[in-house]
Amino acid sequence: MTDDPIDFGSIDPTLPAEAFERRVAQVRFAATAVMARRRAGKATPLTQLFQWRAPLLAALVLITIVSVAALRSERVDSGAEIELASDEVADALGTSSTMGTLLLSTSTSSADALLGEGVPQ
Amino acid sequence: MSVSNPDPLLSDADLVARTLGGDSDAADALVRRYYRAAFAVAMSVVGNRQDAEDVCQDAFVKVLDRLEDCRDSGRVAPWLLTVVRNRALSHRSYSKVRETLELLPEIAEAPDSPLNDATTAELGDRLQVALAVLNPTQREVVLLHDLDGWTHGQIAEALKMTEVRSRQHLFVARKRLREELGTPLLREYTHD
Repeated sequence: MTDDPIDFGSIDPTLPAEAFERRVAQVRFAATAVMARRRAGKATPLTQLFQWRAPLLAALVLITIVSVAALRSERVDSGAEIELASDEVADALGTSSTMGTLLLSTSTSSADALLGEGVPQ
Repeated sequence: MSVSNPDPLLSDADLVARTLGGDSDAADALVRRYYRAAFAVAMSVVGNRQDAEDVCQDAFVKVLDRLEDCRDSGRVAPWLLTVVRNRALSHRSYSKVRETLELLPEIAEAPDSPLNDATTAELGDRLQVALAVLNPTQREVVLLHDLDGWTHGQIAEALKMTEVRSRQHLFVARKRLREELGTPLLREYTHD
């Protein structure tokens, strides 16, 4: 009878069951990396941020170190400029460095101090 | 790591969604659900069981890897069988074993063969030889219908043909298989 189905049981890949389970396990093993990638890709924004905490902290520490170093360097540079300025003022006026410092200082100098500097004794 | 143990009655769309989320149990369920159909298609192309098994394994790994490419997750079968068919064609092209092309049976089965006794192995070999007289489409139709129990509607959708055409292929395939197997063996291969 042509309408009767052919019995393909002898080539059924799901039989016997133990052999089929091995095949499914082989596929699962071969797809381990694929499924691991899928699980990693499923992370929420919060968990993704959590995953980035280490590099984020490292970047913050690096920025802090660079900033502190830059600030210290700036302070040293600023001090040198003030010293250099007082010497330059003194040279330009043809006076001593004490006079230059006095001219640059914010405190009020006494007349004696100013006059005494230039009056020959 | 499995996320859950999916219900075997879950739809294809649910299984695909879970697999995309990394659920290995859902991936297993997809493999189990479509293994016979994949085998039917692979067997239709490569012509022997061992090569068909190898093709199935490669194809399922590829399917799980590229599941995003399946545009309609509710109807995963046509896309999956296309992947299997392409893998099988590639396997056949690069195979150095010419017997594969001639659809000769493998007498010596691999250790993990599904055949667990000599009688079953002999029947399988005879069926394999008989299948070789059919064209690939007839083999796919008769294997999907009689091995995995697909309806003509499902076959028509997966193989992109009409249901009428599917019925015609099945009719011719069964007729030729019976001619090839001979009347004495017919009783062994058919349900009564």
